[in-house]
Amino acid sequence: MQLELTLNGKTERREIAPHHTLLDVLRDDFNLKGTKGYCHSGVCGACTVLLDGKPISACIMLASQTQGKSITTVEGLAEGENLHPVQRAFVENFGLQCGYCTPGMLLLTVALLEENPEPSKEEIVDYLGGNICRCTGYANILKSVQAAAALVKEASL
Amino acid sequence: MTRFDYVRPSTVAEAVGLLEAHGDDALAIAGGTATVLLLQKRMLRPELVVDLGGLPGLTGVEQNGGGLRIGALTPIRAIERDAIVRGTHHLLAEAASQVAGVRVRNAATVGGSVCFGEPQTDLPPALLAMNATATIAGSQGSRDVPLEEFFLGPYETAREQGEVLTHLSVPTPVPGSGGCHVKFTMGSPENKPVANVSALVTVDASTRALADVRIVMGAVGGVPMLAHKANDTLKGERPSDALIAQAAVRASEEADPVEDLRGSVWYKRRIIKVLVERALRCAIERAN
Repeated sequence: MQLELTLNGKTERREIAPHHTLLDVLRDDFNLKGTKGYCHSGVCGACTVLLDGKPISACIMLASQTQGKSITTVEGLAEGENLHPVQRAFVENFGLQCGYCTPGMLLLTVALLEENPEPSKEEIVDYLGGNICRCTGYANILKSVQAAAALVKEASL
Repeated sequence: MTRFDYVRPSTVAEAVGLLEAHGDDALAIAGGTATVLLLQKRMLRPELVVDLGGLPGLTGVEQNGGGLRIGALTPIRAIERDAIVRGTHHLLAEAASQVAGVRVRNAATVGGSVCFGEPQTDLPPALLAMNATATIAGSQGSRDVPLEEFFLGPYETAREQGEVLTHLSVPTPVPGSGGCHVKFTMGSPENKPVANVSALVTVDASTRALADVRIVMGAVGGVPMLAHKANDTLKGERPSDALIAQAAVRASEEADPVEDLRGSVWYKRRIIKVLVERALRCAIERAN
């Protein structure tokens, strides 16, 4: 079937298999390898992308379901060489170790700060709690999200 | 995943027609968070997937007479955040906020959660406690099914294959009511519940007695269950610690859990007793 969607701000059309998940199609048809697969059950959050600005698990959604919608992957965050403030905050605060969970953590943080620009520690933990970091680097991820909130606020002033 | 054809109907009538024509070879999906997972694991092998996600007019919450009309395609996350729901139907917003994690709640829909008929989830007990009614469209027109008659068994509901749930009607609790949803999980709060309880109580302003009590237990039976004996124990009485404890014991006796990876029958009965007590205390406090 013909899939048409807005992917990282650009209109894209691609012939896809109707039984492929959004994760399969992003990685294999669009060659966007930033979105990771791990649990393939919607549990771990490695495949988090934004659907119309809201985080979802790409492994438990058919690509066909995104017809006419807008998807943002981690590749859509930076503008050329300029990192997104959330990416900068993660780099500056060592918010990643092996990096496998990082695309999901970044996108979740972008969505959190869109909904709630000044989240408390508890609100951050509640929002990001479903995404798993197997390096257990949670303390620095939390620090990074707090720093990101400050950077995003600064950028919007 | 096995191969299948995919169709995204643009009207309820078209969806009903497709589901009726293809019978058991067709699978209806809404948000897909539960169904796509089962497709991936090859536990479902349909020939045709009918994606209801594009049906117009089935998303959103509106006030309607004495309650809310909730479109079947409303995401669970939207219920949790909706100002109207949080105001008049707080129990529903509270239960919605406890379903899985935020990624699932953004994609999963209220209608999908109800039609999937899974015993281990949070919205059905709250909807049942609030005495909701499901409206289901079929080729012969629409019919209303009270949720008390909707859940038939694990993953089995009153919705026939050629039907589409269009919306849920949820009455507004009378003044003096309070609701509370509590959930107990193994491990992280995103996990499926070992057990959960939704309680809705009404306290009489002059006598302080419980004019109405609807305790619903989830994950301790094939369907969300009204704890009839516990409810009857409390109705008409002024709540006391002893009475609440007695009702909780009755509820745990009524529960019909099965042993699984979330615990033994013995364990789940003890958990449900504690949850009923907690939900009751919390609901009564909110009613006052």
